[in-house]
Amino acid sequence: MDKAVVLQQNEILCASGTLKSASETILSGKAAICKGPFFDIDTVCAPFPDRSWATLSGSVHALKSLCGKLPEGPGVLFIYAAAKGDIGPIEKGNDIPHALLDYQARKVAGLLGIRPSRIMVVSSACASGAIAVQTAKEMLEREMFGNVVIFGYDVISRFVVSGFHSLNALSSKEAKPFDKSRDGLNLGDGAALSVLTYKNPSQGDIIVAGAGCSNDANHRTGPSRTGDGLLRAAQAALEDASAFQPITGAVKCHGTATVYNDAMEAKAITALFDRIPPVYSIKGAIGHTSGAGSLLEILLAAEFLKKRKVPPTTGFEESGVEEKIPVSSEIQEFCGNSVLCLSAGFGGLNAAVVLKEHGL
Amino acid sequence: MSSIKLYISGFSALHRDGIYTPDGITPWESDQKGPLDVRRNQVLPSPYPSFGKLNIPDRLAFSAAASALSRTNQTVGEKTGICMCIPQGSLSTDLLYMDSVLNGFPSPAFFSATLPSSTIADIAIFFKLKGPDRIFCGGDLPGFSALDTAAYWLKSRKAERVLWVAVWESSGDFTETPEKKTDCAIAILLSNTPESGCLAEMEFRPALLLTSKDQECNEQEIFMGVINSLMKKREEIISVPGRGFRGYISLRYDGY
Repeated sequence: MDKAVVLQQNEILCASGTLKSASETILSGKAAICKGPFFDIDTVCAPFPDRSWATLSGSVHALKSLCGKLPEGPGVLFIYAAAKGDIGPIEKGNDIPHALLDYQARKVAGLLGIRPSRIMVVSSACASGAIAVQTAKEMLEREMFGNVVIFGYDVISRFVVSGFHSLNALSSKEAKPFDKSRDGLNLGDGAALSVLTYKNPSQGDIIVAGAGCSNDANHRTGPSRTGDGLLRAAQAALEDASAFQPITGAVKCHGTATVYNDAMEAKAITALFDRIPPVYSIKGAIGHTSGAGSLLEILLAAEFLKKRKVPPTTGFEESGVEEKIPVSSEIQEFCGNSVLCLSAGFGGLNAAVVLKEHGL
Repeated sequence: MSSIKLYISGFSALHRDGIYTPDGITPWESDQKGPLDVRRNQVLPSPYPSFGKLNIPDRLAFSAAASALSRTNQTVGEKTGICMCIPQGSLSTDLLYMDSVLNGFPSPAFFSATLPSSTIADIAIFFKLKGPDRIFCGGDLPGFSALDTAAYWLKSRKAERVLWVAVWESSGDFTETPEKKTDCAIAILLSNTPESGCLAEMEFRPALLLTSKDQECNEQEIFMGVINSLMKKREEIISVPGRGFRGYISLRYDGY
């Protein structure tokens, strides 16, 4: 096998802690959510257990400390991926320019001390992290950079909680992805850092084998009812990955637990596979961590792939989608060599990433 | 790094002087101060009831895209992607939404526009553009990042056409040199084959710089320079100095 894009260093912060503790907690089926109210709204959220992580600089310091030495200097591309990132300046009405994603990106790059050759800011709503991984893959395969450092950050805020509440998208109970009683999502805090490089992979390396994206061209905030947009993104990702001969052993769904998202995803997945592998969502365990979430969930999917486990879908009890899809209700063994990660976001955006363990 | 040939089959710009299209420059009317006052019938011949509800970044992006796409004979659709540069993101809409929160009535309409991806949504929905999307909201040379991505998608056949869109909103510009910029939106329709109706050939050569030395670069001026060259059919090589990246754009018109 020739060179491939490898996930070299990964770390996350979420309601269940760091990558190691979160992967163990999610595999055990436990949820790290707190009953509200949050900002006077009756909902359930999944905040960081360590409040020092809840600021942009706090999460950078924590992730930098956990990751150890990062690539720096010439040849490094830094990508900041967020839906809103640090919205604090808007909420407080002070230092408004600091709410610009451009400002946040430069601040993070400075705090990480990586002195990148170039900074990119990718904002694709809740698919931001997945689109950042796709951007990194393209740049590395073109050998424009030696390493790409991606940082994703989105946290619970009055701005975001009130916004999703105004759209009737929040649940006042624990989120139940794909369940018949699902009635909305739980928001969560999330931050993630990943270093990707382009090299001859070693046995056990997790590679980004394929990536694709599409637009529903259907509705500003709601998903296409047919799932055709997500289907096209997934098909593009699997086609992109074809040289690596992926055998999909699990599908990591966007799985927000809203009525329409989960119904749309079930349609897309049913149309995609002749034989559907186990599908799961982790948003019942750690909440919907917005733009950071799709990166964070990709890194957790890589961890589950290494452990050769499919996690349970916390909150799921009885199927509430028309299609018969095998929603993972308890931890199970992983069969295959790759996982398909799906994400979607406001604006009709869809993103799909194929991760594969090298050597399988 | 090899160069990539692109073919331009439509373009438009909303600038302080008026609306730039292949047909010429249409100045703003006396009651219009500039791009923010653009009216639907100046950019789109067909009705679009939602036009008046669009917030500033969305209206600028949609207007430039509509003006470019409504004048091209190219068929856009399922395999047409969108690459966007919007350095100020949705900051002006963020402030409007936050006002609605503080007034006790959070507006779902404003909230849905507080993501830069909303600028893509209206274009994609109206023109049924279902290909890949990418939005660069800052960083080094976001306009060139978008153009570079568009060129790569076309070369690698991930899209048949790509609509490149850039929006600069001066009210959301808190950089140190906002006086150099004005409200502006540009859209250019790119493809990888010289179809009939092609207006120009653009050769794009991205080059990697391994230094992190900052270099002054006003992307709005550079891309308006591209539009001016297209208007006058002036062959030109435009060099773009930047941080960590350098691009060369050459424009040719032989046979188009």
